[in-house]
Amino acid sequence: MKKQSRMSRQYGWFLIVSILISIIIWAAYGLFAEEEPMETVHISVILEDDGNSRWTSFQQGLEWAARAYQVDLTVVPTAGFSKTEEQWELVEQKVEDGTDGILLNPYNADGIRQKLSGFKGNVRILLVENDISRNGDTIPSVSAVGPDYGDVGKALFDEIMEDYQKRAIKQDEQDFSETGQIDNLLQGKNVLLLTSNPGKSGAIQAGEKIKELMEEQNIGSWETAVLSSQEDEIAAENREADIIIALDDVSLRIAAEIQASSTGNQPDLYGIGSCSDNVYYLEQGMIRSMIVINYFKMGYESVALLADTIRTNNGETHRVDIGFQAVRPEEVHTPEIEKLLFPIVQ
Amino acid sequence: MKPWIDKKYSQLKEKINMPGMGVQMMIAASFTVVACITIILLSLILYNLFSDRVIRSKTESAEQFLNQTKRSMEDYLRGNRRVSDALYYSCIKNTDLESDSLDESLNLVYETNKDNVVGIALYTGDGILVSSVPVAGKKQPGEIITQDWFTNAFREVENLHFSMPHVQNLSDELPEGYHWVISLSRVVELNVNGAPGQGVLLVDIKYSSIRQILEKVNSDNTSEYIYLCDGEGNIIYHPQQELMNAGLYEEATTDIAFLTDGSYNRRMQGEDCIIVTKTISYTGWKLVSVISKNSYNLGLYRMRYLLVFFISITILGILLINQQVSRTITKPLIKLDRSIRDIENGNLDPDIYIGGPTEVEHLGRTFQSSVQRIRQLMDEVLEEQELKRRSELDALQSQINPHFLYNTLDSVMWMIEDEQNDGAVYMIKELAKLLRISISRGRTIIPVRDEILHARSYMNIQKIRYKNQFTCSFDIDDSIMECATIKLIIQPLLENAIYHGVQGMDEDGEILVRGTREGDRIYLDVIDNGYGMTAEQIEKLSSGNKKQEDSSAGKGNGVGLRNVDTRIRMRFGEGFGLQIESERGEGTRMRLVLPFVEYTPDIEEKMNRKQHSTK
Repeated sequence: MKKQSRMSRQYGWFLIVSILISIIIWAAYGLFAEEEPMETVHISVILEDDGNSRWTSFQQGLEWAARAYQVDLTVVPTAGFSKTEEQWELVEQKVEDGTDGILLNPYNADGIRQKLSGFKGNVRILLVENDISRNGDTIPSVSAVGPDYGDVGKALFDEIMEDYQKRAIKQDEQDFSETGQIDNLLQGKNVLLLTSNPGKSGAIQAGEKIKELMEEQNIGSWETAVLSSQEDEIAAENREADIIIALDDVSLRIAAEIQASSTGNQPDLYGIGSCSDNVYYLEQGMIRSMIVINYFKMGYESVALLADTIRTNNGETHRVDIGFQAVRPEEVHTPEIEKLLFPIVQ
Repeated sequence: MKPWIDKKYSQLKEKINMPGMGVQMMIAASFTVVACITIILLSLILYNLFSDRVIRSKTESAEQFLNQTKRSMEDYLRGNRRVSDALYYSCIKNTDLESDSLDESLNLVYETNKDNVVGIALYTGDGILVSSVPVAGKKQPGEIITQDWFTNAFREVENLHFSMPHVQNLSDELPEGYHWVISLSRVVELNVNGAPGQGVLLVDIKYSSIRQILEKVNSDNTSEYIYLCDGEGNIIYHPQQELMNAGLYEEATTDIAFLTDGSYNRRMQGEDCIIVTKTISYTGWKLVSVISKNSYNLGLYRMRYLLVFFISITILGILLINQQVSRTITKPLIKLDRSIRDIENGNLDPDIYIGGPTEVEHLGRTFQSSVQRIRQLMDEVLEEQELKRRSELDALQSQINPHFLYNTLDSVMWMIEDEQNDGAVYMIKELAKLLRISISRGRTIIPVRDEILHARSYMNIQKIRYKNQFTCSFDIDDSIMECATIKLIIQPLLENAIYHGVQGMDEDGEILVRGTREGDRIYLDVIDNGYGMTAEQIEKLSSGNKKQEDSSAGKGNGVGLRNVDTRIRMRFGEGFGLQIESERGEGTRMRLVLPFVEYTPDIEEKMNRKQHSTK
């Protein structure tokens, strides 16, 4: 009994001393250990015409995220591309330079898809603004950050319908009549779908959605056209259209410039855009409604996602949907829209 | 409460099999517990004081910083107000708009302040543009009069109004870029051909100027920052403004905007924060400093680690030191305890530890002397027991002395031969009585009555043998007859009285046996008027020399005075026994002092038990 009590006391003593020593070691570690700083990752950004004002908010988002996620960011100066190979050369150059990841605004969805299929490098690539998916793709083949252009197309179409409804109601009020046709407002209208780059998946998806909705609405006729050059402008001037839907910022700006310089009845112009010129034209009423994408958020989320992918080294693909807002001329200077449209520039 | 605690403690002890704690463990445990509690309490108090100090210091620092920022902002806004005042009082008020133009004046002021001012414009009360720099505003009056800066100016006519940051484009031409501005507007008195009118003076201040002021005071530290909002909580500047605009960050400002100037503790976005607010004069704007717990916790985290480290090290040190100290203190006690255990195990000659602190040393010495005393007493008891055993053996032996028996039977024989049958029968009867009482069925304690009877029988026989050379009388108090006494104590005295007293006195010899009681004692005296004894004789008789006793015993029954005295003292204690007084030529008195104890059949057993217990 005596031996047992001595043994249990010794055991208790040993237990207490062990616990204390463990606590001392833990506390010493906490006291003297320096927090390991996050490793800096290097990310290159390849945009189409990076100097365009539509990228201002996007680049601000990039910079904010770079500070928050310990990223060394390089925006490759570009003036625009005429073919996929030009863009892909820059990608290969950056890979050779040792970048950890590339944010890529794909010039041509099919072209980039082909290039990526043969890409064997360890560098992570993330697509911004547009992806390279085809209709029917359910799983993205590469990570992308951008709006769902199907939803964008639908929102644009809804804006057009609402605009026409309002005008119809207003006309009735003016005419003191109640015979205005609210239904089938677009019937008989000629619709022109414009894009500056038919290879961009965003424009393709938005366009397809709008066409689908127009078919449902039995809208008269529509056609598509490319508007990216002076020749295109001249050609566009000669088209007869009641409604012009520009599916990207460049085509919207050009279409608005044409309208600004023209006289007489102008078609109703709607589109997707964000550059300061388009904001001006929207403000002036030349653009009746514009879908504005949250570019700041797109820039921020793309760096955050790519940095995380590089650090965790997982091979999963992700798709981050970015929000957008339909803006009308009278809404341009509302506080919420101003925050979206006008980046706070130093 | 105490019984409950004791009960729980006992249950705990049983549960963890914890028998009684040793002194060492008790000292170590109690010192350790007290020290640990003290250290932990002190540490917690110091930590709390430190963290309060840190928080207070942060708050004071934030308040000072905010005051400086407030002054900077107020200076800046005051400067802009001066621009507006200069325009109004120096230019507009003195100008007849019908005949004069304000373009030059406006341009001059604009050029002077273009680092800060985006544009200046003057409108009539109907929103018609009077003059503007640097661009010609082409917006319709209908658009102008709906602008917030325009309507606010008319809300309080006397005051200058600063708008929320917004994008200003007063021209219809494609701008080089859109500017974020804060519009400073006021109602002004216009003079059109002498007719007074009202208008609105607009000065668009670069929002970036305010941003720069506030960006300077904000670091990259997201846990400590300053932002600016209006009286309703609408953000004017925030270091995370772009993130807020994109919906990536939220700041709860509505509650804060209604707080009066001061510092507050709030929980924001799941974190505890210190909020300090200052209101900027004229505008009602609020500067808000937010210090999240993370910013001062950094120091506190380390402080906590330091505290835990310090407490653990100290507790470990205390444990080790207490263990050592308690061992040092209790080592002598443990050694002493071992000595005591030796004695417990039957070793009556242990090596008792004497050492250690004064008290323990004293304890050891005392214990050692106690053991020695016990050993001594035990030896004495053994000796006494041996002596008693020998005395009683002697007494037993003397129960039937062959010499006395032989002499008595011899006397009986010549009596029979002399046909003194009655005398012989008498002698035999007395002898039988004597022998019967001598044996007393083996008992040692008998009533005084029997002892007197024994003495009488003895004297009766001796008188016949000595042919009545002496007389013997008995004067025994009736009250002592039933007292207890040891047997065969009077006969040796009578024997002595005969041989050393009255023998050869030619019928003058007298022996008196007296028994009296005084208090709780009884006295049995044998008094003779014989020759008496010298002191040396008395000494010899009392000294316990067995040989001498035997030599005198050969003439009588031979137990010996020493034996009597020893037996009485052994049985009853030191206060009792034999006293001899004698004077040469006068006689001798031998006194037996006994306790007054009533005789009962079980008296001997009781006395034996008492004897054992007193040992």
